[in-house]
Amino acid sequence: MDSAQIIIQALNGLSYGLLLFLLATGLSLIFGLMGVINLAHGSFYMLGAYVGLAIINLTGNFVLALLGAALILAFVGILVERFFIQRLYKRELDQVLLTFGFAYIFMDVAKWIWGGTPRSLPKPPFLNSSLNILGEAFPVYRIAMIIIGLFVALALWLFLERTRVGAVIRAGVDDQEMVKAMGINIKIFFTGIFALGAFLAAFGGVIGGPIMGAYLGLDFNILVLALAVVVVGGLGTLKGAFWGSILIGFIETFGKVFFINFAIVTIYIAMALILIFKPAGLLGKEESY
Amino acid sequence: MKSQLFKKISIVLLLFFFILTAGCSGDKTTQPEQNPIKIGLLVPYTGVFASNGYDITRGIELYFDEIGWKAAGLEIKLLKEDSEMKGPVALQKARRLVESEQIDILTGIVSSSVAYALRDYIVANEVPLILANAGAAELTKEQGSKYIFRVSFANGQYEYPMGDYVFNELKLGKITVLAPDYAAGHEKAQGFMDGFKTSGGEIIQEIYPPLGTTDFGPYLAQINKDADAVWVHFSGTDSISFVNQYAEYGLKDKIPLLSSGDLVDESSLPHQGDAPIGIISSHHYSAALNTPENQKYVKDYRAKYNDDPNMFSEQGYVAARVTVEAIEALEGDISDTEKLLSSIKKVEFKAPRGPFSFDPKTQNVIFDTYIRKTEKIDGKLRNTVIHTIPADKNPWYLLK
Amino acid sequence: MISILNKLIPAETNLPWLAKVTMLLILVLLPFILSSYGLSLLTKVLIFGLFAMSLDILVGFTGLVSFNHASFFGVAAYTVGILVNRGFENFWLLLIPGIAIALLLAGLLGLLILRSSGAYFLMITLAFGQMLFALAWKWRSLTGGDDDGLPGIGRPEIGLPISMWNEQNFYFLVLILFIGSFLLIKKVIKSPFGKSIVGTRENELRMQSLGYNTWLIKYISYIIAAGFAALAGILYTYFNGFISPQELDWSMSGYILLMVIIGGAGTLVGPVVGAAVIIILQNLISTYTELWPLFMGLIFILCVLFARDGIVGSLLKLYQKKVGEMK
Repeated sequence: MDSAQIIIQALNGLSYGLLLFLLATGLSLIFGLMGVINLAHGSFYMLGAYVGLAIINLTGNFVLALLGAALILAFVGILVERFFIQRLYKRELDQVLLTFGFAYIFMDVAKWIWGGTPRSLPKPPFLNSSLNILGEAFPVYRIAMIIIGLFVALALWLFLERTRVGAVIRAGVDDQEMVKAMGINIKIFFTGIFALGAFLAAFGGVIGGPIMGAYLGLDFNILVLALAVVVVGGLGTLKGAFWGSILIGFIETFGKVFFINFAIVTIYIAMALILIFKPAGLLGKEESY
Repeated sequence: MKSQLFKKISIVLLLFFFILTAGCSGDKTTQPEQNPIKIGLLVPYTGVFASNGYDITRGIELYFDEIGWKAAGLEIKLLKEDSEMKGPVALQKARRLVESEQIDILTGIVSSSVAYALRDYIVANEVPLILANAGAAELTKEQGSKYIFRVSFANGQYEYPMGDYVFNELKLGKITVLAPDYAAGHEKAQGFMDGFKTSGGEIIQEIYPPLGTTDFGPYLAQINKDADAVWVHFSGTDSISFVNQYAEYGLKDKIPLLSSGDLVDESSLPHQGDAPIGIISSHHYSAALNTPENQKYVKDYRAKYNDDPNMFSEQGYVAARVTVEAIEALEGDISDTEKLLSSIKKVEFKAPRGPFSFDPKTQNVIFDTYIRKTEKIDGKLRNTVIHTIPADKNPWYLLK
Repeated sequence: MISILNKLIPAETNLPWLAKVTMLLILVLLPFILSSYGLSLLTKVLIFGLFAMSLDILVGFTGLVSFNHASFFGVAAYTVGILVNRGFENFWLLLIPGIAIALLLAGLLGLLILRSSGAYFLMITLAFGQMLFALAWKWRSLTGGDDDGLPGIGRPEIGLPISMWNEQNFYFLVLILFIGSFLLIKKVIKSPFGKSIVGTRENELRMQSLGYNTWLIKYISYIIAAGFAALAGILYTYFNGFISPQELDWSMSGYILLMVIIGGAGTLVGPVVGAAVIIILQNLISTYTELWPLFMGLIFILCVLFARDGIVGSLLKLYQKKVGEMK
């Protein structure tokens, strides 16, 4: 493998990892703050892709699809949180059943509206070309994915580190009782974080649409990857989700290069090894949950 | 007080009992006269492969519509069940269809693993099974049975003759092969490679990504630049991702892409943009075939579903017609399963894909293979047939 | 939720003996009433009921939400399937390697995974489960791979002149093993060891300070659960006559977990009811509509909202309240 190939594969890994970051960061924050394992998180991603495609077909505008799908799914997220999840705090098994139930429903609703045929989202025309890197072609769209992923990561970091709301959320992850004792209504933050998670997942669904497409079953395929990211990085932190995503992106990509016959399990082998030696993830705190 | 409590518990238990029996009881008692013909259809309606299930169903229902849901004067009842692409689920559903509904014929079956799971049960219960997609070659060879027919294809059946065409007509000598890493993927790739090597070609690289891969980027970067062409088999979601990404990584203009017909089947074509233009593939069907049978079929299909037919719907259509023709040849008397089996075996007609018949020895379908080129005509992609390999010129049929 | 379970367990045993006899009578009489298809569903319910009960040892009593329980089910199924296809017949003798290999696997995995807890435990078990799934998928020469699987496994030979090809006879074999396992699991739960399992779940630190080796307690509980899952897997192989890698997939582990939760974790009977509800409803609804997942999803949500602690858990709570009122 020459250096050009290594660069191409590294860019592949980075773009894939940052796509996973969009999905995983919401899952991680929801878990960290609310203690909820949201099994419907992949469904928000999948529905995001479908809704995005519908908006593109209607308006032909990719950016509009991106924001429209994310906002619509964020609203769905608010409904799910306010009317259902809010009744189930601290009841982990019931949360599993509830979010699994929603995953089933969302999958069937998607089938009902859009049929079973797998689809693909068209790329915005101005990104539909490829770049020459040391004689190898690399799609411009994936460069755009990397830039968007980094931008979102930076925005989230600023939000969590530099704003009052962000400070409350971080405090809530660390010590919820203390936040409550300070007289802050944490329930509103729960709804907000859940909506933000749904927003980012749907956003990722549209961004990933031209590559992953939209199909039934995408929800669980992507959920497993996002869970792997969250667990490898350590639950509840932006930093963990970020580095976990990049690591999983690279493992997936280079697994396809070096262990071509075992690409189906590289991610699981890596996950098991990490958890055997670091039972609470790479950046997680040993005693947390 | 205590007795009241017991009453409540008994009620709960009784409820439990009712739930149990509600779902399970009720063998339909059969009336001897004017029984409708019951055809069981077992395909996936949920999950990744749901669209294949729906397409097969559409083809079947289109044919039954055409003949007014009657065969030899008897009403046809189609009983649909979701196989979920899982062997144990499919077996459970088959039990219901066979034991409770007492179907006369079972059809559908998208995946070979489901077909294998059903095989022993079908044979033990003497139910004719008409496979409308499952392609494992063994199902009509060693694992074959007089109860199992196949109207679709065996893996390799249309891939094998493409090897000769690629080497001798397209004059391409060195080829890289990609296919999904599961039994059917390997079997189809092997079919092409055997045909290609027998003709004198050389396979320089084989890559098998996992089934359901969405990001092909890492694989595409590994393709050997010395290859004269790349031959692939992918279907469903894989086919859409692969074709788009092959173009995205700039390979489309460098190395010609060849494939099994599945890659650019009409079920995927509308979602692949312009990326598939120029792909040469082999298949048993193309919606662009110029025969009167196909033109009528395509017209009817568009009228009913506002969509183009594809390989799956055509296979469903043919399966439905096979059952009806077999029943009509017996004038509706299908009480003798042996007679029904030999009647199915004899069915021959001009299908949308061309002449259709069964190989009497294996009960697998015999068809002509089409070499197609994907083109854009009037703003729409289609698979134009550029060459036909008649069944008697296809060396695959002579293989053991 | 978990703290009330302690009080639930004794309540359950206080069910009047008449209720127990009625339940047993129903299970014995049903095969004579049901159609052959209904009987096959009921057999499946019992097999999955046993499987779900074994997971309840982990989820309900030990507090470990495991996502690779299907591994033990599948590995035992493959072991027996492979041996049957190589000419070994006696059912009782085949149980030994089938269950032993699952126990061995659990003993090995238990060493690696029990340092993680909560969501991390869930994910590390998922990872190992998927590795075993991939092994079954790719090791074609042994397992038949993803396509053929292992077909052609006949019904068990139990050494008596009774044919297990008769669906009623097979049902009674499953029923006997089911009841035997149920009583055995219950005995374990009631034993001092069972109390220490629940104690570990409730407050691991306290148990440690009392001198218990909580790691060992969890380890043993993981192995016991694997053994019963193995028995269910073996019965399922004979029931279907084949095995495929799907029996090892995480979706199977998830399916069983749903049964445990919907029926009521930590109640033992609950998971069996959960298995019955899910299997029967799914088969029933899917004959009427292809949108059956929509209805199953709605049922899950309704269950969460109106039957907290699962179906049996809620009923027991109600029962307890009534008993309390009477006193």
